[in-house]
Amino acid sequence: MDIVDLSRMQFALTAMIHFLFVPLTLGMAFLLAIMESVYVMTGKQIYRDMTQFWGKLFGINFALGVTTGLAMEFQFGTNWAYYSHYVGDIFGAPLAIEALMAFFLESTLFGLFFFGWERMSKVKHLAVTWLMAIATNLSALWILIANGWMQYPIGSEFNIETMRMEMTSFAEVLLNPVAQVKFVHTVSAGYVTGAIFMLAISSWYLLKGRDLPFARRSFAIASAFGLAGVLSVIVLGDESGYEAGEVQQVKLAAIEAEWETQEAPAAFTLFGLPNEETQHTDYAVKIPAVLGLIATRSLDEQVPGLREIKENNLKRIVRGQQAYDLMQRIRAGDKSATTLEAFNAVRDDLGFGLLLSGYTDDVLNASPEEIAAAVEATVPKVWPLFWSFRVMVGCGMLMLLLFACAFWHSARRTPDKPKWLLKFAIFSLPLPWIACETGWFVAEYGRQPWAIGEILPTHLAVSSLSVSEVWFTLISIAVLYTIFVIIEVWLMTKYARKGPSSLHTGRYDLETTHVQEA
Amino acid sequence: MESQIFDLSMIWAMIIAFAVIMYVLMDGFDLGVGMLFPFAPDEDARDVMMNSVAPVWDGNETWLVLGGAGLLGAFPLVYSILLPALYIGVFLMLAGLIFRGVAFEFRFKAKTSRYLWNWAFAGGSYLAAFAQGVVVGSYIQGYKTEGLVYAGGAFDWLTPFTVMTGVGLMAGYALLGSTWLIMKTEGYIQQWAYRVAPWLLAAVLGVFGIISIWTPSVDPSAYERWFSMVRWIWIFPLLALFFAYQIWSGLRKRKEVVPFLATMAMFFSTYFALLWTRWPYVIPPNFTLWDAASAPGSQLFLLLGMLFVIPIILAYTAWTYWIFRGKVRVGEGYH
Repeated sequence: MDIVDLSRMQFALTAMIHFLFVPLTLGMAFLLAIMESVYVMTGKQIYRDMTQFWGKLFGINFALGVTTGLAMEFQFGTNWAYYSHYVGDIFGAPLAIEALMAFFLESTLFGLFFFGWERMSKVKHLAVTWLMAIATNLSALWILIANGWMQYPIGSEFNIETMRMEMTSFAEVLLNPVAQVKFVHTVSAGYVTGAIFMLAISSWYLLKGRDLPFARRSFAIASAFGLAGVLSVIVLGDESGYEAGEVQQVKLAAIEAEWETQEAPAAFTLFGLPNEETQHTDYAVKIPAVLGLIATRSLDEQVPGLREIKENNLKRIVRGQQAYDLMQRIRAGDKSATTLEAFNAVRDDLGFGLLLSGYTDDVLNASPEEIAAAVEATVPKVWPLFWSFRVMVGCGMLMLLLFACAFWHSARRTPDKPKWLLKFAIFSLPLPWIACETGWFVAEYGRQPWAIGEILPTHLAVSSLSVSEVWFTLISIAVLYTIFVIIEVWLMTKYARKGPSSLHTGRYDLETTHVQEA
Repeated sequence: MESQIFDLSMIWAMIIAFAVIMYVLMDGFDLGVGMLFPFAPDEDARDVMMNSVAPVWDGNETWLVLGGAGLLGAFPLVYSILLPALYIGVFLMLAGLIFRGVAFEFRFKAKTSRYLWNWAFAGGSYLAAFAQGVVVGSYIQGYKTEGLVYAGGAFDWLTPFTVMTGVGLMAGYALLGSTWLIMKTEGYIQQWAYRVAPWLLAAVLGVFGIISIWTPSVDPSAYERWFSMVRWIWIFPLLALFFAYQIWSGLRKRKEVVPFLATMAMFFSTYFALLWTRWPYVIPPNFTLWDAASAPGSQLFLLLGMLFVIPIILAYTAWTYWIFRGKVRVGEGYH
């Protein structure tokens, strides 16, 4: 494996493990704020106990989320040095603002939330909890603005003098449609994660017949919050499909295994076996017109297929060759007006020239085979995207069903929920994580071969490190993070089993019996 | 135009320098508390020590995030040269910080494995402090670059000199930690901290002295700076010595707050001396802060955000410390 593959693996590993913790933080923070609001408004002690107990589980998760996030931030520099140099001007801005506006707030308030119960008035503490919840979401906003720019880099241009990307409009970077849609989709996914977490554990108490008043209230709050969250995820997921149809057509075509451009409105492939060899989806089950509707919101616009996209990319690579060559000449000192003008005419395709540079030493005179290889590379592998997307959507649908049933049963105020529902909720516990991870995989693997969409290919973005250095960190991170995940799950289980008795209030089951905490 | 870039980059360098010293002072004392952990009189004392920093460590550490993200946004070249140059070192530092951060949360919730988290907390603190000190040393040493890329070896950052700066920063953080504990604890824990602090002060002065004498041979331009050009620079080491005396006399008179404040002031003076030694190089010996700056547009935009938000951050950080003011007592478990 070369440095690019290793660095990608390391980033994928750190990002995916980081995102085990993030959605739970996003969701639980709001759930805590809601429960504490009920406490402050009604004065009922049980809601304070709920906030504190679920807060304990939230805390176990939070520390790992923060520290793994810190590690990611530095990885842009350690492993993606050229990337940092090339786009730091733009990419660094949202990250810096995230640190300022969100990271500081959430990590400071985190301390106040946990340790400030006896040191602040009820209302002040409530304000702290709400601000903490808002800060976690603001954090997600800025990170997704940065990520959205990687997917769809607007508001910026290449500066031939400095050989870097520079920001031309912060407003465009900020209001990037991809980022906005992704933000709501991602935080809603977090709300669903938090809700399922609470719902599943409460269901377990209900099934065991313990801590009933505590568990029923938690169940009700989680089901309402989760239903709202899951609806938002799905609506915004559909909106993502539309945005992708507009600006990330490669990703959409790969997700849908749309090899050829279909007659409008395109059919949606529900299932099938994408076959890279034959460029065809075997055993496809199709629903007429749905893809066209999702991606274009119309019946007559076409959704371009992979073949058409590749044909178009071939043209861009040819222009990219010129751009690359002109760039070299300008760098060598040829600043004549004609050269600059010629460069400006093809500058938008410079990224494709850079992509080709990964396949040949002589970009301008690349052989047809080398060009063909680069053209192939402009489209990510289809089957991983096709399947992970369907896994994500499948999980989403199951969760919609779960929350619909759960909400219906809480709204009817039946004291005893049916057993099948409680079991359904317990077994649904892994679903949001599966959905989040596959969703991120679709988003980031679908971005390949680009680090910055159509601007900077991934293979150029890396640092000049030795392979052994990256192996060392990759293995260390894998071992360390695995240990931490195991410990977290173990601790979560331990505290979930203890339940609210872990608060030592004397009001809950198990407290008078055998379980004693240190 | 030129002068505008000049000003912006300068302001930015100052902001990042500010974030770094904030980080050193604030995370410094909680890392120091972690380093003193193995030597604590008993397990109750460890609980108190941890509780004294538990509500604030996370916010303290965020100054590092700000420094990092600020560098990426305002001086992308620094980010893209320094971090690969320090690759393994940065990894060790982050691993240390992760261990330590997790230990806060997990130690209170563990029972049988508690001693493991004691070690994770202490070990992580040592590792992070040492790695940060090494970074400082490597900055004094300078970095080998070709074009805009780091061209040195994987372990250029690990030399006898940087090991010495690593030890120096460890001693410094431990001193900050011990004086923090003097301020925040009472009874036998405070007495213990009073006994430890003078030794740490001696270690800090000794190591800093060695580093000062050693620096000119690692970085010849430092000699120039100190002995031929600007004389007033000598004010900083003199100030540092003055504050060192304040620490010492504060400890002797059993003052509770003075030693901590004086330690911070001593750090601050030393930091200024260091900055002046290398100014205006951000990637010595080849790149100044102007070489490494991002486009003025990006810098200006970020600057407006910073100037607006930093005072707010300082305000609520101060409020947090106010909320958690006073002594931390045995048995006063937060969790």
